[in-house]
Amino acid sequence: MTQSSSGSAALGMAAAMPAKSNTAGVFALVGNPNVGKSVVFHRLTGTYVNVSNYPGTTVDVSRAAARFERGAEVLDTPGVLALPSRSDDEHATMRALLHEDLRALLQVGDAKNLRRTLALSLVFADLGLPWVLVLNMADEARARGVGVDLQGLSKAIGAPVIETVATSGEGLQRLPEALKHAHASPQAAARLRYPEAIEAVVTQATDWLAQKLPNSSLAPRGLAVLFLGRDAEVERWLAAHLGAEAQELVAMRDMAEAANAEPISTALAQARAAEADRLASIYLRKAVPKATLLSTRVGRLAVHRVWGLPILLAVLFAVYEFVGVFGASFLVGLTEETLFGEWLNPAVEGFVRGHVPYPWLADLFVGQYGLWTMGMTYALALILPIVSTFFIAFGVLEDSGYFSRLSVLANRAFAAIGLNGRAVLPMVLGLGCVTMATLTTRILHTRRERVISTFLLALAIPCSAQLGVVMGMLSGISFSATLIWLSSVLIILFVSGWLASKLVPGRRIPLVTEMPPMRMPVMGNVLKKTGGRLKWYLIEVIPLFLFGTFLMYVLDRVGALPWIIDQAEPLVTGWLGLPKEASAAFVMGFLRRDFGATGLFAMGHQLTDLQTVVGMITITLFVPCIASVMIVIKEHGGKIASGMLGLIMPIAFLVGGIFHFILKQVW
Amino acid sequence: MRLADASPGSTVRFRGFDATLETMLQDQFLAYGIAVGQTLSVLQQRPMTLIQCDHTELAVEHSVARAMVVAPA
Repeated sequence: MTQSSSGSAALGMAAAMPAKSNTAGVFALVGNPNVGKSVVFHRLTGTYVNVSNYPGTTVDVSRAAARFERGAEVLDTPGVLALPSRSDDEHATMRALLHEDLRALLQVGDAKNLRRTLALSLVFADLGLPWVLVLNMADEARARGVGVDLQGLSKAIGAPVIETVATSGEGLQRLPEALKHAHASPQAAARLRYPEAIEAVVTQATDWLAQKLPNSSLAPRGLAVLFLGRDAEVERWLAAHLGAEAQELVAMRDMAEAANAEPISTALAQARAAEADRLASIYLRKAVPKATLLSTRVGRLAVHRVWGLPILLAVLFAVYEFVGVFGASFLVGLTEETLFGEWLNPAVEGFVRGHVPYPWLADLFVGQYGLWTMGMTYALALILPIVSTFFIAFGVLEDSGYFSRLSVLANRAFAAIGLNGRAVLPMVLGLGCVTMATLTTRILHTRRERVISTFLLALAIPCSAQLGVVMGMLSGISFSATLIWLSSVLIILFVSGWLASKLVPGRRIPLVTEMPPMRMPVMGNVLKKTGGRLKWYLIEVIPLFLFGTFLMYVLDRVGALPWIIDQAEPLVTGWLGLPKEASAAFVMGFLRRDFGATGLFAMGHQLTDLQTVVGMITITLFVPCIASVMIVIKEHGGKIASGMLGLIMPIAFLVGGIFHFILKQVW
Repeated sequence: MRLADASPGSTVRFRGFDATLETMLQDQFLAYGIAVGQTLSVLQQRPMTLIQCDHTELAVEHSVARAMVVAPA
């Protein structure tokens, strides 16, 4: 039984206290991962942020103006499995709670998983901010026969509770009204009291903090609970505000820990879990269990010990057919050969040569290294159709929930390189954009996992544009050529990962991960994401392609390019077995690997099948793009970034040469 | 009995963790709603242990499933 028709359950509460209305402020969306916070954010602000069906889509805080109140803002925060915060994305949420002047919290929870939602609610209740509980995905709950007594729950937790289906907008119109009835602090009856010994130290720390930080935006009790639970972000914040005095708080916690058989963080979490269980048992209404849903069956087949692998191979083959064959062969054929080759380029070249009197200037636009004939043609005729098809395929898989299943299938393989299956997610996202995926490594629990994953991303994961070019070139040879390339990259990925796991100190964390429900992708969302990614791609790529083309033009005019080509001949021709002109593609690869790959694509007719495979292997492993390097520096510092770069380029040429010699024997 | 030993398709009651299982993982399970006394459905054991708690499906590595004590429900 659901009560979605009853509206916001707290609206009728006599004790409701109006929040400060008509005052601009910041509302933060908080909650567990993968509960639809970003969809709610989109509904409340009109601003689109990436929405996907796996935990960890949002790794940083987004901000936009609220539609429901002039001057107010809404923050979309990364999902938190639990508080105190443990991972980097959870730290980002905690920083937002500590540093923003928040007017209210909007906790978004999964309507079908009330106990988990409430365990987190009990932390938010202690923060002393007005808050509203938004039970989202109510349609999925209904499909499973789950309903919630909204009014009863609202009274029990002391906050308005509303039920929504954010994807359709159902229920969200009640949110502004619910916010007006949000309490700054729950009534004493609604506040969780921890077991006696724990409550004593919570009270002691709360009183101490109330005295030292009387004007803190978060309530002393909330800060005390998080500090005692060893939230590193709260510890840093308290140390910054209290200086050496914070040691008194540390001593308080140490004393309490010594007196308890188990860590205080565990005792606090257990007490919250027990209370959430109690509340859920009262306010959760379960109908007779329905038959297993089709989506549930499909989700389980995808990780089945027998069917999991064939399904994975089928998915990979479908992506290959769509991106490699349809996108990189058919669509590129239309754009490169027909649109640009037969119509646009002859027209532009004719116009430029007819109007520009200086041949050297005309060459700058329409020559071998011309801004139009190389830069724009590469970006629009070759890469754009490929990345468009890739982003569509990628968006469908993201929204289906399949990526989380991959972490189960790949866990054993990733154990060999000191990681767990969770690292699959940044790797798969790297196939879209290595730069963004490097940020996603924040979902990994330890620094060791993040460093190894970042290194592997920079070394062996081709981004969408590069992958499309590789697929396009290799599909023109044979499917086995693609398999050779794929196997070589996987071998390098695992050998490098294995070595990195031996060198980077630390230990492996075993995998425990949630499987989100499989869902039918909504094409509107897939197309919106594809549009956003293409826009970003064009903004980033076109200037770099034009700059790279200009650089090549200048190097060619001053005679440096022929000199580089001559100097690199022993490496490129002798070691890799490629024509010496391929050196130019590697020079272009310094700017972006896909630019370099496109350079090899453009000279496809000069390459034998063997040379194409070796060239694709080498350029796949070549230096990451400038944007990726900047993110690696930001996330891990200049020292680690230079160490990675120093390793990657020699590895690329070493591996390319080894495969040249191996393939020459067997081809 | 350990979770890793439970048959696929069975329902078990969670009894607790081995002391060897690190606190971070214990807290993670609590956050997923797995507390002492909770009923879990065992969905499969290969390639990983897959359990259902309420409407949450969790994949658990065998080394962790071996550190989880359960009893038939």
